[in-house]
This record gives sequence, C-alpha cells and structure tokens, in this order.
Amino acid sequence: MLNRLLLTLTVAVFVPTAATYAQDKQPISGKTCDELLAQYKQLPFTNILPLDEGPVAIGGEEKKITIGFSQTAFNHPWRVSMLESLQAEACRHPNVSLVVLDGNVDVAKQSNDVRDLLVRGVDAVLLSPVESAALVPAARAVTDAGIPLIVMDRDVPAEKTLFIGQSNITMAEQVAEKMAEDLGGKGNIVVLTGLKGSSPAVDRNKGMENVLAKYPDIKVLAVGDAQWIREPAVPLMEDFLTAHSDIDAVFSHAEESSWGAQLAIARANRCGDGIRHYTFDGSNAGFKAVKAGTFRADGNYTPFIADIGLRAALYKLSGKDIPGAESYDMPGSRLLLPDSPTVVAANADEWIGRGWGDFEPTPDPCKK
Amino acid sequence: MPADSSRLLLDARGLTMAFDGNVVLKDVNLALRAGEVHAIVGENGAGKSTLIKTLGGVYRPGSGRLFLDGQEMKLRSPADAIGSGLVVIHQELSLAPHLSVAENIFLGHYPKTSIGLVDRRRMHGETRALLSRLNIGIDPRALAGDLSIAQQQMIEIAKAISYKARVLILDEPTAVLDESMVGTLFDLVAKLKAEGLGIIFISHHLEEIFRIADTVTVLRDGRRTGVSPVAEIDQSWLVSKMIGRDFPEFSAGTRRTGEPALEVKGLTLNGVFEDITFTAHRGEVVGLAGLVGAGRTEVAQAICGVRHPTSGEIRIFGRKTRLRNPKMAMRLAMAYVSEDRKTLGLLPNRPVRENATISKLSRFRCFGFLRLGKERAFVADMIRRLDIRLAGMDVEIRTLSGGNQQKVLIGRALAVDPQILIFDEPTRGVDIGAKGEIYEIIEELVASGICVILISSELEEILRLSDKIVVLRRGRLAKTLTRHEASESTIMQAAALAG
Amino acid sequence: MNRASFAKIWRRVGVFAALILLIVVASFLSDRFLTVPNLLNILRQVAIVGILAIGMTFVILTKGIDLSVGSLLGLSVVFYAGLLDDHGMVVAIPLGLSAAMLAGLVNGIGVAWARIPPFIMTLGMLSFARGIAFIYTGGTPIPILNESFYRLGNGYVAGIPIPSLILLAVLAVSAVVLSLTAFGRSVYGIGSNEEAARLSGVPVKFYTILVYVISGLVSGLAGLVYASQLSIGTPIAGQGYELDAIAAVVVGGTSLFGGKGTVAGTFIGTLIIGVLANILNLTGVDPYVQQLFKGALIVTAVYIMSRTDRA
Repeated sequence: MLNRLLLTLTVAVFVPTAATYAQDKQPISGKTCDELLAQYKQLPFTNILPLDEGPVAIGGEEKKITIGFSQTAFNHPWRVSMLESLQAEACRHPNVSLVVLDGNVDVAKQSNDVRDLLVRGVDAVLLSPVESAALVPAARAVTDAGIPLIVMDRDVPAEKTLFIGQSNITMAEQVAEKMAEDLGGKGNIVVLTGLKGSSPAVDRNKGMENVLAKYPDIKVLAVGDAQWIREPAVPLMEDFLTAHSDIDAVFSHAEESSWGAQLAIARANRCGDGIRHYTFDGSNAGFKAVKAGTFRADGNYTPFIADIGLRAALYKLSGKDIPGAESYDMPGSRLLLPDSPTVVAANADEWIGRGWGDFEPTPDPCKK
Repeated sequence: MPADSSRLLLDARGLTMAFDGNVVLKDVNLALRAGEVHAIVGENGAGKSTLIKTLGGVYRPGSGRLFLDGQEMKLRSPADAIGSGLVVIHQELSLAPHLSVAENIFLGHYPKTSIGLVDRRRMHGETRALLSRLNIGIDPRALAGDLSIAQQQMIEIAKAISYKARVLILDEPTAVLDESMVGTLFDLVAKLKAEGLGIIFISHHLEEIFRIADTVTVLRDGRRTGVSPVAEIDQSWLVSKMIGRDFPEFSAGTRRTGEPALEVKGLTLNGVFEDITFTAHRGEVVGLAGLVGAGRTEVAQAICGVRHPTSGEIRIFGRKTRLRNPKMAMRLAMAYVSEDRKTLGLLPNRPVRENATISKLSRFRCFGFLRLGKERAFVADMIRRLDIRLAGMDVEIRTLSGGNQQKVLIGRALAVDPQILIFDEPTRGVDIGAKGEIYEIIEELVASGICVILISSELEEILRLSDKIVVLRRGRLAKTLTRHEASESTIMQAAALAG
Repeated sequence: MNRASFAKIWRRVGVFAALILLIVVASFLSDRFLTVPNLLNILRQVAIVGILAIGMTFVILTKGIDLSVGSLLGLSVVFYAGLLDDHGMVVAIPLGLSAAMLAGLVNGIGVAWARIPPFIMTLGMLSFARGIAFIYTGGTPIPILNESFYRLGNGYVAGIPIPSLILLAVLAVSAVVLSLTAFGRSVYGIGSNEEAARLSGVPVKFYTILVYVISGLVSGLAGLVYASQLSIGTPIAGQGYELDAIAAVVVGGTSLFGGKGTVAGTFIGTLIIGVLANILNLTGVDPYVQQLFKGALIVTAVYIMSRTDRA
C-alpha cells in the first residue's frame, strides 16, 4: 500500500521533470543551450583564457571529453548561476560533456563526490569546495590520478592546476569605503553577517574592519548572524531598531539579508530614518535595487567564473599554457580575477543584465 | 522442627522506617533460624518491600537493630548486605542477557589465569559443580537471555549461593511462574534449607505458604500483626491477620443462567491454538484454565478482536461476527480486561479519570466536544461503585496500588456497558483485600445477567467463581468440566497430562 | 503539601514562572524591552516557530517526532510564491496548505500503517519535500509581488500583527481539540500507551495519521506566515526549524516519551526562547555567545522538568 503510494508520488514528481529534460534542457539550471549561449555574451570574464567555439582537439584528435564539476550545493541561485556559466561554455563545444554533482553543503559528501568523479573516469575535475581544509585529501586524490584540478571560488591548500577566485576582502573594502564616504566618516552602523564561520563571511568582515580602522567615528552598534538569508535578518533588525534609535546604515553580507532588514525597518515605521543599505551578491535584482536607491552599494561578487574554469581545464588538456597563472603562497598556481567594480547608482545601468539571476527585486516595503 | 533446634541466624529488633513523616514500618521484629523458611505476608502497602529493602541494605532503618549470627550489623548499601551474606532475589531479575550462565554467576569476580585473562575453564567447572550441587540442570555456557524466567531465577539463586549467602530473601519468586515451575523452585528451596540457609519468602499465594514455609510473619500497615509456626494456623487465620477482617465467602451454585451469549466453534489461529469450542451464557462464568503457554490469553484476544483467527466461528447473542478490532467488539457490548496491566492496560502517566473513560468517550460527547462535568460525574460514580481508593480522579494512575489500578481498568471495561466481559488474570499482582473485592464485583456483574469469561492461573480462583471450566493444553481444548466435576486435581490432570 | 502535588503544580506553573523571571531580568537589562512595540515584535518573531511547535506538540504527545516540518514549510512557501502571481491567493493558499497536508498524510501512513519509525519516516520526508521545493523553483527564490499577501504577513488587526493572531488562533483551536475532543484525549492515550489505547477501542492508526496531517497543515500555516512576511518563496525556507520547534516543545514541558504536555506549555516554551533571543539582541550580545545561552536554556529547562517529574 505504502509502496504503491510512494511510487505514484515519485512518478508524479519525476516524470514531468524527466520530460522537460528530454527537450535538451541542462540539468539543475533547466535552460537550453540556446538560452545559455545567449547568456554567454553577457558573462563578465569571457575575455580571460579565450577559446573559440567548436570542438576541442586534444593531441589533434576530437574525442569525447568529460569534465566533472563538484559544486558546494545548489541550494542558492548564486550556485546555480555559477553552473550556468559552466554549462554555457560547455554548450560551445559539442565534444565536451559535463558530470555535475551536488555537495549538499557537506564536506564529507563532497569528498566522496570528487572520488566518484574519478571513478567515472572524467578528464578533468572542477571543484568549488564547501570548505578549504577538509577537501585537501580529495584534491590530492585528483592530482594523484594525474587529472587536471581546477578549484574555483574558495581555495584548497593542496596541489592543483589552478585556483580561480575573487577576493572577498578587497571587495568588502570597496563597499565599506563607499559606506564611509556616504556617511562622511561618521555614524552608527549595524552588521548582518553571512553564516558565521564561513570563509566569505569572515573575509567580508575583515575587509570592512580594514576600512573602519581608518574611520574611528564610525561605530558598530551591533552584529547579528543573518546566515545569508532573509528570515533571520528580520527579527535581528527589529531588535536592533528597538535597542537603537540612531542607526545610519546596515552593512549586510548578502542582498537577501538586506531585504529582511528593510522589511523590519518598514514594519517598525522607521523608513523615515533614512537608514542606508550596503550589501553584496551581485544579482540583477540587487543592481536594480541599487538603481532604485534602496541599496547604496552592492559588492559585485559574480558567480560567472566557472566558464573560465572549464576553459582552463581545456587549455590544460590540449597542452596550452595558461596565461596569467602565477604561483602564490599556496601549492599550485592562481589566476587572480580583477575585482568587478562595486555597483553603485552611477554604474547600475551598465551592470543590470550582467549580474546573476533573472528574478525581479522584492518591492521596496518603504516605498509602498 | 528445624526452627527450634538450630541457631538464630538473623535477628531484627524494633525496625522502624518513616518517609517524610509517613511511618511505613513500625517496631517490626523478625527472627530467622538456620534451615528455616520464613514467610512474610501482607497486603500491598503493608510494608513487605520496605522490610526487604531494609534487610537488603537499600534503606537504613530509622531505628532498630539488626544481628546476623549474634553480631550487630550496620548495613550501608546493598553491597554491604551481600558482603555479610544477606542476598535479596528481586522480582525483576537482573541477569545480563548476553552473557553466559557462568559469566553471570561470576560477574565482577571472574577467576583469572596467571596472565590475567579470564580463566574460562575454571569458571565453567566451578559453575557446573555449583549447579549440580543444587540440582539445577542448566548448561553453564547457555546465554542467560535464552533461559526461561524460572531458569533465570534459579541462576540468580545459584549466584547468591556463590556469594556464600547465609540468608536468602526471595521477593515474590512465584509471581512469574506457573504451577509446574513453582514445584521446581520449591525443590531448590528445600535443598537450600537442608544446607542450613535461612530463607525469607514473600508471596501473595497463601497456599504456597503452607506448602513450603516453617514460620510466617504477617504485616499490616507497617506493623507485625501475627507470627506463628505454619503448622499451627490455617488460611483464614492468615487472611484475618492480613486484612483485619474475614474474607468474603460466596454461596455457590445459585446462579440463574440465561440465553447463550457467546458461542465459539472450532476457533483456530494457525500455530497458536486450534479447534476451540465452547458456549457461555448470560449470568454465567466460564473459566479458561491451563498452564502458562496453553493459549488462554490468545483465545480470549481472538474472541474480542485483538487477534484475527484463521478459521472458526464466533457468535454473539446468536449473530455470527467477524471482529476486526477491539472497537468492534465493544460496539457489540463485549469488553476485555487484559492480564498485562502495564503493557496492555494502563495509560500510566494519564489521570485516573482519562484512564477510566478512554474506552467510551462518545458517552460524554455533545456536538463533538467532551462535556467534562458529565465525565467527572460518571467517574465519581464508578469510583464509588467499585470502591476505588485514591486521592482524587486527577491523579496519575501509576501512583495507585495494583488493586486500585485493576479496578479502574474494570471500570473502563464497564464503561462500554458490556454484556460479555472477559477477565484475563483479574487478580494478578493485586493484594488480598482487593482480590476479595474484585470477586465481589464479578459476582455482582454475573448476578445482573452479564456473561463472564475468566482466565486465571490460580486454580482456587477459577474453582471459586466458574460455573463451567474450559481447560486448554498446548493450544487445544483438553476438557470441559462442570462446576461439580471440577477440582484442583481434575483441572491439573487435564491441563498438564497427555491423553 | 506533599511532594507529588508540588511536582504537579510546578509542572503547571513552573514554565510560566520561568518566563516571568526571564521577563523581569530582561526588563532590568534593557529599558526598551518592556515597550509595546518590542513585545509585539517578539510575538510576531515567534509566530513561525510557535505555529510549527504546536503541530509538533501533537506529534510528540503520541510519542512520535516530525522532523519534516521545516521542509513542509519550505514546500508550502514555494507553492504560495509560484501560484500567487497567476492564480491569486484564493488558489495559492489552499494549494500550498494541501501540499503540506499531503506530505503529512504520507508521513502518517508511513508511521501508522507501514510501521516505519517516525524518526526515519519524517527524516525521509525532510529530504523528499525539500527536493520537491528545489525542483519546483529550480533553486531560485520566487519573489512575491502580491500586495494583499504582503499585508497578510505584515499587517495588523486591532493593533496586533496578523502572524501573531494566526499563532494565537492555532493555539486556541489546538488547546480545545486536545482537551475537549475524543480525538485529543486519544492523542494523549496513544502517547501514554499505544497498545492499551488500541485495546480500549481507540482508532490508533487513523488518529496517528491525523496527527501527522495536522502537523503538515500547521507547517503550511507557518509557511503562509513565512512567505507573506518575507515576500519571497525560497526553497531553503525553514531549514533547521524542526529543531527549534522541538526545543520549544520540550522547554514547554512536553515529554518526549509521550502522553504528557500541553500546547499552552509549548506556547510559553516558544516565548521563553523568543524572549531570550530578543534580549540578547537588544543588549548586543555577540552572536556566537547567543548560541551558548540557547543551548544552556534548553538543557536546564528539561533538567528541571525531569527532576520534578521524579519527585
């Protein structure tokens, strides 16, 4: 009885999903190659390690190339957008296929995922790790198998072909500088961090502190853990507003948390306080909110870097040198990406459409 | 008479215990001689278990002195008591089920070889010698968990002997045993007695006192109300000392039975029982007798919808029925009072009131909501009618004595206004006072025309209450006896003997 | 007064006394604490977990556990968000609630009929329902633009936030159901001793299923509050909420061994945790340290409860 029920449920859920995939949609992102190729033109870093459209030859032979991608998780659209940049690049090369695994924000699962990729005989591994240190053994396994290993976004302190990433520290410095400038070097702020202990949250905080060290008149009234998302930010901000009547700005590590803070401000009838929002993520919705004036600055931490990762792997497989790769204080080499400019009112129009995510921003509750 | 000839082994004088100003043991004396079996009887709450716990070192008495072999003892812990040769065998057995018999006996003091490993050969050898000395035919290598309750009990006793026990206190050892196992246990007790141990024996079954004890001490409300050599007293003396009045007697054979209420034909549950046939009438008690494992409870549960028979027929007031669950049985005015209060009866942490009415909440329902006032009135009436003694109907049922718990569960069955009532061991774990009251309740029910099916391991109970006795043996109907044919020996013969 | 009745009285008022004590301490720590807007804030902040915890109370009273409530909340949230724009509230709300109830029904059938331990069954559902939420949204949050839906989560009736009113309504209905219906009475019976309840004619399977359906329905209501308050249908909504709900239930004096506890206790347990979080935020305690307070509070509350239980 139960078995039958579960079976029916499973079929009800998976048959439609499977059917949509049959129309050549890419897994997880659910987009067709045509859609992805259109998007490719907007990607910010296609000029880095450029590669022509068409089949990729290795040793003069156009054989099938399989690339494995182990992603932290697909629980956030930022992570899905990263995959889209990868799928878009793959769509340009008919003999390249992808194997994509979901690490579920679990270092143990991701370690196993990487080993599974090796068992499946992929030609190169792209890795966007959950956490740096814990994935060292998995990274070594890839290197030991003699396969190129490209690490993206967060680094792993192990031997690798290439690390590709942006600096959360310098990006946070840009945003904090903008905030200090707007405040005239003086004011009270509250901070809504990303999930505490995670490396981007630690780095964004460090970047902010680097800047605030120069502005002793900017006071941090309170710090709360908003976990990158909207829901925890609301009660935190409500309580901060209750405790402090003189908040000038909210420095939040994520757009979602900024939206939560803005909801709390509206509900507390404090829209008139003119509290400014400084945030990160680089979504199109965020850029639109900057343009509308809800956010003053949006740290442009773009997810569209996996196309570079795939190109780097293909460079390596076809024996090409990777221009710009440099050795640094960790094993292997690094390709440091230029900081995308922080999006502020002045350059918002230029960036709308080049961020990630194609959803609309939440209506500003203070403008209702 | 060993009681007079041998030396005084244990001598407790003026033991008194109080908890929070509540005196539970008052000035109790107890003298035990070597080679004597000394029974302690009393209703639940009379102070038996407090006395045992005091002798076993669990409680320290408020006042009073304790002498063992003429030497004054101050017991500070159970380990102290065991060290001085006073060992209590509790009702809940404490063997480790995954260890062997020998390992259990030597638990904590394993013999070691020269390099410090457990000396298995010596351990098994000594265990074998011990068991054969005590006439216990159990393999030292068997796992304790694979043994029957009776065998586990013997191993506990053997373990006590291995501690060089001089005084053995058996706390209701027969409560979990059936008739044939009791005999084996008593053989062992006789053997220990011959070896010069002093044995204190607690039991609810008065006939056992006369079978095995030399002396009996009666407790009531924490005081000693009587002590006597067993040879000089009879059962009514014991009962009157225990309850402070005479036990109710019933006039037998005056019941007027009516139409058939329950007809069972060829009832079979594969692998459990087969081909059970009997008829019970209004105003009649049909006893189901048999040894433990004969299938009595299973038959009763199949009749009232708890189990599903594979074949056969059940008619209730002439109508053929197939009961899928206990609720259906209740709708047909049939209720079952389980033998296993703890696992099948009580809602332990719920109030008495809820326990009493869970079977028939629709009684109090009005537009979908329970009317608590109506419920309270109903329960108050039940408490009065069944003479349930408690602090209030909102106390948790687990705080009640066994007898009062049982009465609440009977009340729960009565709440469905049953015409057929199945009692499975209604007086198990119930003190003698409550037992008499439960008999009275059953008599009243029958007199009002209800049909009662009674399952009991106590032959005396079956004989006293039943009009007709159905004896089961290994899941089959062995014999049906009328009240006139039935006696302890005819029932036991049918239940235990082949052919 | 003897010990048993002291224990009983403590069980009844002890949690409440703890809440009062916490409020007194909090009002000394911050002069902003005992203000109407702040108290209303707290009542709104606890709405989501408070609603979940009431459903969880039903389940725990039967000696079960429902680990899937956070995921069912997420499931309903994405359905509200996905359906609102095209079909409006009249369609979106019933469908979102039904999705959560259907998942609760599957939980109930798995527990009652297939006899899968509740921990396992609902752990499976935790993952399954979350998976559906991700598939439905493709991993991207769906913004909610519907104006009246926004007002549902952020508006006031008679000066009280609507989410708090939803919580109070769920509380009142649950309290009546548990104490004044045959079903509620049987829920306690099943938790106290399932076999005994069955032998007493209680439809144990049916009621067990019903309890998980209620938990699903209540998760859907919590999802309604979530989605309307935050104006976004994210598939990760409610992650980890099952543990917050369980914490509120046990702090509120409900026994994990079944058959003992009340929804009123759960509500007070929810408030205790909510007030603690609030005062820690008001006084600016470091978020790392806040975790310690919450953990210590849960363990202490349950320890006190178990001590008085034994007395």
